[in-house]
Amino acid sequence: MTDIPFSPATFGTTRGAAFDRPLIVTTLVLIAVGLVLSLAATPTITQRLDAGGAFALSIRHALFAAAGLGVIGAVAFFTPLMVRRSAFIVLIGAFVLTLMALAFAPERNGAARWLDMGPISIQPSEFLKPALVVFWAWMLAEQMRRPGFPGRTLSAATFALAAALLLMQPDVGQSALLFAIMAVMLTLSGLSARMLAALAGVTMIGPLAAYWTFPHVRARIDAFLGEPGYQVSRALEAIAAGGLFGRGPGEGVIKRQLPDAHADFVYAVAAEEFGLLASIGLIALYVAFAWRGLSRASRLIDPFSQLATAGLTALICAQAAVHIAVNTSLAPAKGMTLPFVSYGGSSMLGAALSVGFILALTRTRPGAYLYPERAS
Amino acid sequence: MKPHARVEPNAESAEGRAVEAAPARGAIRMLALCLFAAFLLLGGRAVQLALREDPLGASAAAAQPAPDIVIRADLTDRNGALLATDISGYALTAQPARVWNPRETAQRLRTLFPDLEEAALLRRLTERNRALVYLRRGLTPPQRAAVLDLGLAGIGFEEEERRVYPNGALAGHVLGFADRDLNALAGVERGLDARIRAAGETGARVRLSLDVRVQHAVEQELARAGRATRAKGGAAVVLDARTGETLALASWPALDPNFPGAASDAVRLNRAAAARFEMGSTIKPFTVAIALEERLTRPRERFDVVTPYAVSGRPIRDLHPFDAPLSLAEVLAESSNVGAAQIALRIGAARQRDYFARLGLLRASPIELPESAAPIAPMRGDPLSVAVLGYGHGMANSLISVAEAYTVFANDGARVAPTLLARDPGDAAPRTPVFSPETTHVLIGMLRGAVTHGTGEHADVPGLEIAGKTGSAEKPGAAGYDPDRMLSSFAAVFPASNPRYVIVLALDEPARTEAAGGQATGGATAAPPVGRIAARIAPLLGLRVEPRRSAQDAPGGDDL
Repeated sequence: MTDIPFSPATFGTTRGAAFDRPLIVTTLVLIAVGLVLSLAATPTITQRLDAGGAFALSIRHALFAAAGLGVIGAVAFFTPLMVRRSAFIVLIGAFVLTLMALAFAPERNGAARWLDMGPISIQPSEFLKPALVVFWAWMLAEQMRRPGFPGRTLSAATFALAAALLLMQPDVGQSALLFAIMAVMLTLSGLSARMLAALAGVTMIGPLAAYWTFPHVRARIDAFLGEPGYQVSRALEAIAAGGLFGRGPGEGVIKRQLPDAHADFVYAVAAEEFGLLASIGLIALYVAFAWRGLSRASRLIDPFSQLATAGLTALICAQAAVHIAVNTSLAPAKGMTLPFVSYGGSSMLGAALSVGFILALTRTRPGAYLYPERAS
Repeated sequence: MKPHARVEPNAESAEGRAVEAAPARGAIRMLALCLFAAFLLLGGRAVQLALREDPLGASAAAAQPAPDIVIRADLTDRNGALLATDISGYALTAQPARVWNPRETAQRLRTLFPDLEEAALLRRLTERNRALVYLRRGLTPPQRAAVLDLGLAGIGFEEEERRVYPNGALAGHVLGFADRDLNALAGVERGLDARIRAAGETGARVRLSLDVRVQHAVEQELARAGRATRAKGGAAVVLDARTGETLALASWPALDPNFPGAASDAVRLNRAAAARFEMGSTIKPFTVAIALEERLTRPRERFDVVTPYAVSGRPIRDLHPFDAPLSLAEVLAESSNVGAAQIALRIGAARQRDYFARLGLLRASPIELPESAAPIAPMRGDPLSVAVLGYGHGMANSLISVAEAYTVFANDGARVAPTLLARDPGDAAPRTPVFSPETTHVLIGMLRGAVTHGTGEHADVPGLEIAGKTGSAEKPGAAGYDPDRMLSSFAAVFPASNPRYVIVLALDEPARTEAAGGQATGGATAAPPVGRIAARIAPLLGLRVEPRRSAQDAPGGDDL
């Protein structure tokens, strides 16, 4: 890690080229891939002129991507305090919107998860996730600094509230993802062996409870353990049909067969049309993302920044991993978007907010980083 | 930096805080390892899926219902020419729940398929309680592309196989046809259904005995004769009598099996297999042969055909009166009913029935056609029945059945059952002995004489030594037999010096046309097309046509 942070040009500055450039490049490439795939994956239905032309969804996707870039550009310049405060505001807002969604929103695809706001509809949980991660980092860091502070309790309480709201939608997958991220962050903050064991216990019980409580969870897990369902079967066929080099741009068929191919099965679309090289390339991009985020996090000195960066990186990468695992039938069916790539405004803006926070927290500032052994 | 300082309680050195962050560093490394391991697993899975042929695995594939497509094997003629094949088409389907605007969808579909009715389309597009409805079947790939270009929501396609007969009407009646679900309905498709499906599973073809070149010649000459005589219909069969292989089987008017529904019942009727006719004089050679075999007559015996003749009080007449007794050969050559009736009475009911059974005339021909009809043969056994059966009345047979009986003249007296499957060279056809070779030889000579010096002269082709017998059977009407409605036929065996091929042709109710000399008899209407067919197919069958052998030097000609 003998890169930019300690070059004389950036040392001591708070602005300018203090960002992790590989992370920025990775994010931009992922967004670009998403734009290309939106051309391929948006449903054939948009070919109708009255739906706004052949590229209606692609144009919307491009607008979301532009908005996302704006969010990244703005948030990346935040100070850690601004990150904390903005995350807290987003958290409150997301909680309120999630409640409103439960109360007023129409049910879509069997879940009350979206909130219609005029021409656009938003899915508050996409914003809830990064905001919660930053909030937990704050709470846990505070407890690390002042052992008497109930940071873990507050974290667990906010998780419980969020999970309760998500489970009422019902959105078991997002709840599980949030739980996994909280477990990671609790572990990073230094849990006692006894607490770790308790956490492991909850980790075991959670899925069982979900299996017994939610019929659709049971159906999906049963399907996963038995024969793959319709959507996953189509995805597997699509990936196999893609082979090494793919069927070719626009030649895929899965986008005609699955209603949400452009969101929940965009990985399969990529693999079908562009082949193994593209699907491995996508995985490599998330690996690069994880590597940059975590290597930065590991050298950060401030516990809040470190926990938040690691948590946000884990959030993005875990979500990507779940998406790919579902697409390749390694996990039970779950509608999880591929961050930056899938179609969807909330997903795009939520991911943009996450990477904006990461860039802000990992920005090179005096005293932010531990000197690597070699450099000192 | 001021807000940041609030997080840090005291201005520690970088090294001091590093100690605080150190445990997290290790944990973050663990987290990184976990994530990398997960992505490595996903990458491996991606490679596995991309390189695997069957992504669902054998068990999953078995659990998924196989696409409901029936694969029928290709049918070819004996030389490999394609007669029937499956091609892929599409069924147009709709998921009513996903159709946005049924009225608009129906209207736009009708721009491509004006044959669909808007009201019916609309009704099906609004069947909300059904997950999938079929709108139209048999779409071609360009039609499917055109529907896709409409960009209609909820409209889809299902791949389906379609049976196609690339030669159109050629051999249409023999081939038969299958419905849209490829269920065999008629012809060889139905007769060999199990074999065709079994061959389809292994990708093999089913090779028929037909020869499209012979079939074409037969169909063309039959149609020409049918049109020229303004007949109601006609049929013809060409057999390789040695092997029983059916080289051609035609029914006129022809049927295009690609559009069986467009044809009337009269056209769909296979007149060579499903229709039964009282054949008349074409049965006479069997009567003569039975009498010779049973030594009830000699070739030189003369029969009184001049004196009016009656059996059980019913007069038996010839088409034309004769003024002198006829020899046995002349009874055949001049086709005397009176002579044949006398011979039949000598044979008697029991022997007649026995021989007819051995000739295969009393059951449906075993040819692989579901249409092959059993004869109407009461075989009452009273003298009048026996006498009229002697000249081919009182029993109605399919044409293929008569052709089968004629195989005895090419096999030294043994009958060979006809087949539509090509026979391997080493595979000998089962033979049913009926007559002795001697009897057969004498009969061939007489039949040759019937062509050279008798009613069948219009069938003669120089060099082909055609032997044969005419038939001019009055058809039964409301008030007995109707002299104005005839079934005119000709049955031929050739070449007479080494008989191998059988041609039987019949015309149903030919008119008395000037071209046929004002006659509607078998000799005037059915014999000429048989001659033309023989002349056309002989080179195809590898026969040496020797024109120097004229009509005069035929064996048996001196019996006249």
